Amino acid sequence: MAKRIALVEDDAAIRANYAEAIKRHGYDIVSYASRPEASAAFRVRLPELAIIDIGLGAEPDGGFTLCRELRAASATLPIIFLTARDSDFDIVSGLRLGADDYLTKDISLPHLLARIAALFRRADLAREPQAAEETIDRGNLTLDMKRFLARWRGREVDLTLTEFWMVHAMAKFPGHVKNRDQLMGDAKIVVDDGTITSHIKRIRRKFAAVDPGFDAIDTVYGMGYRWRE
Amino acid sequence: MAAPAPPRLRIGLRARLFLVTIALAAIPVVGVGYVREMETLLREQQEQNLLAAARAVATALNDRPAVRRLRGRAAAPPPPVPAASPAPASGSAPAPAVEPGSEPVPGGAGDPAPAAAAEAGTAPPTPEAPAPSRVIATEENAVPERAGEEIDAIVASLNRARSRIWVVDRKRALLALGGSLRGPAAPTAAPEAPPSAWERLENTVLRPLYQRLLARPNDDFDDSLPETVISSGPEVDRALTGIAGARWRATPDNRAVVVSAAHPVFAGDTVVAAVVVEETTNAIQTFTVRAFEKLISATLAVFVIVAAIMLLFASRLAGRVRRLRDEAESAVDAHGRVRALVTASHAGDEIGDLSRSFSQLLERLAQHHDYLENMGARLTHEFRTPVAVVRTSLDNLAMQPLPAEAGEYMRRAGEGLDRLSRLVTRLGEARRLEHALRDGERTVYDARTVVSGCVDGYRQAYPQVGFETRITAAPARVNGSPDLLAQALDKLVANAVGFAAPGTPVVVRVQADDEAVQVDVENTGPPLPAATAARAGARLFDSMVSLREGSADGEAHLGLGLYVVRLVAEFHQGVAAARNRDDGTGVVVGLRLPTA
Repeated sequence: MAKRIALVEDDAAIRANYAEAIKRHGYDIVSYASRPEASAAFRVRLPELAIIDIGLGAEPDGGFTLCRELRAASATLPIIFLTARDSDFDIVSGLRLGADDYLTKDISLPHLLARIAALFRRADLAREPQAAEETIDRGNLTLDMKRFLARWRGREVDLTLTEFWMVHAMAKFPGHVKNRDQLMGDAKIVVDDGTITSHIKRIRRKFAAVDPGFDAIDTVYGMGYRWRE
Repeated sequence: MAAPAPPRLRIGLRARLFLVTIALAAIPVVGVGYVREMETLLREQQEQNLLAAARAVATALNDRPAVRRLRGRAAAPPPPVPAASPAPASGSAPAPAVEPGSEPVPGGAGDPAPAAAAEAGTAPPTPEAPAPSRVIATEENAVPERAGEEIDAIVASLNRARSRIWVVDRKRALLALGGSLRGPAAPTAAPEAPPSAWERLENTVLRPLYQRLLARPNDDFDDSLPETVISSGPEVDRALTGIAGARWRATPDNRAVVVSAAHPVFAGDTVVAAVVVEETTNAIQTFTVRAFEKLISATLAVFVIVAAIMLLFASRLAGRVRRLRDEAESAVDAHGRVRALVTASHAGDEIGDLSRSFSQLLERLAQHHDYLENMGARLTHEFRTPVAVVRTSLDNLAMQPLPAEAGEYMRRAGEGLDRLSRLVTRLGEARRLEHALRDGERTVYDARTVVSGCVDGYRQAYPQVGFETRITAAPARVNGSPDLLAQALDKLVANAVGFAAPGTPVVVRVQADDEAVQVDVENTGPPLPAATAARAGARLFDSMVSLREGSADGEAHLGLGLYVVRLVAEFHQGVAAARNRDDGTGVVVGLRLPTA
């Protein structure tokens, strides 16, 4: 049975484009133009993944409200914010509300589809018992490449998909400097340097939350970042 | 738009209003005129009074037997001219001694005394002048003597306080003299109520001032009656010809002014003598001086009060204007950003109006500024949706079976879209940075590590450009964010590389002293436009200001790079500055960050 994806987006052209692309990849897509419409539908039936714009018509923060409602209804439902807003404040707000990823609208469709696939994989595997492992071990760091889970000293670090891919990009070859463009490519996003810096900052903070002495990410000024083992 | 230079001579509102109070000086000027007028009036009055008194005395004397006897004596000779005809006709007396005109003795009033003594045969040269009232001219024998006594009695009976009456006959011989120009000794002032504060002030401060400024008349003047006065007074001459008159003269020591009024005394139709009544003007003078004193006191008091009120008023006014000015000045920072709104005053006057319009002005300015500053962020936001429409459409199109030649167009459209996308991202960069700075974390770090690390990166990023580093050996510790410094350096180096003449190196320099760390990026190339260097030097660091004439590299330059540099400098509590090399061969752009 095809996975059911909900798309809440107020711009008709984008909505149609995304819907068609997603449908072409074999997913079942339902799209809504406004928050009340989406809310009503979600009360009847929850989708298996939701892609939400933040500004919805007359409601500039309608997406946040919707995210809160969805997260209240299901703790595991993957939620992606797809929005024109790219301020740190919005990103932090969105992720704090329990979104699994926060993407700006200039992301390409293949990148978006890759994320959708990854999130589904993570959700599926989370329900199953530990199956055949596909992990990368780098000292204290363990990356579960199937579930997109990161562990530091055995404790899970709650990373978004983008953050996970960045950590993976760095940790794959410890000691090698990854510049910002490489990180962007690996994380399947197109953002500016400042946003990469904010991402790195957030990743460090999440690791520091499980281990205050965490300092495995090195900043190489003017070049990029590297993972220290 | 250059602000007009402030005037070299600054006169504050307070000083101005204080100058205005000088207009109060008109009060004493008018007052002085008034007092002078009064004085003239009083003098005339006194003259009239004296004339009246002289007339009264003369009337009392008219046709008295004593006076008639004088007439008998005086009938024969013609009225003598004082100095010319010294000797009287029937004289047993030693004429030269008594002739007043011939002997100008300084103490004129005492003159007759030696004469009398000479007549008596004994000549004790008494140096002290005897009291004038005791002296009677006695150049005649018994007759005039008795006449003198009688006249004397009349004169004494008509005596007035503070006035002197004397009678001369036609030969200018003093027949009688009574009264004194000095008044009776002033009674000692009764002990008054304790002086009020004002009186104390008046006594201690003002009185000495008045005494210095205004000669208060006193009774300490020479009240002698010089011979010259008796013999040559024009009023006496006129009186002896039958016409009453008055004269003003000074006392011999010039300490007081004496008014004398003369009136003829008749025996029948003949003028036989003249009565002269004299008074000093001291009373008037006293009055005038007192009036002046009061005038000055009142003026001073009014001046002090008005000046105090004016000063208070002006201080309040100036204070409000100053406060408004300070608020207005601090409302807009060096980059023209409106910081705080002037609190609009509720006062109903013009300054209140001014304050309110300032407030409105700043509010509008702030709105406009906000609009401009948000423009980038808004553009990013607004552009992103259509870009997304195009991108998703292209992506969808790419999944369709397309004719072979369509691939090239797809590729070009994709490239254009990428550029547009980068542009949109960069537009929002400064804004995002501002947000990041707002809650940015600070650490103390060494700028040298950051700079040298960055330069290693630039060597890879710009292989065609040579980089020279001149990094100090001293620690260059600053407080801020190394990431942000690296970001600022990226912008500076990207700029320098863009402007550097081909084949010339870009110099990155770090200097440190006790106060600040200076990070400069220097390139050889076209200098900043000289005319605009000073102003644009500061403006360069504002949002969306670019001095690039065209972009050769096909990349859009939004003028945000140096704005980012400025934000980073400000985050480090430092400043960013651009200048031309001293020899004009290039440009130095740098950050000056305070040492941590």
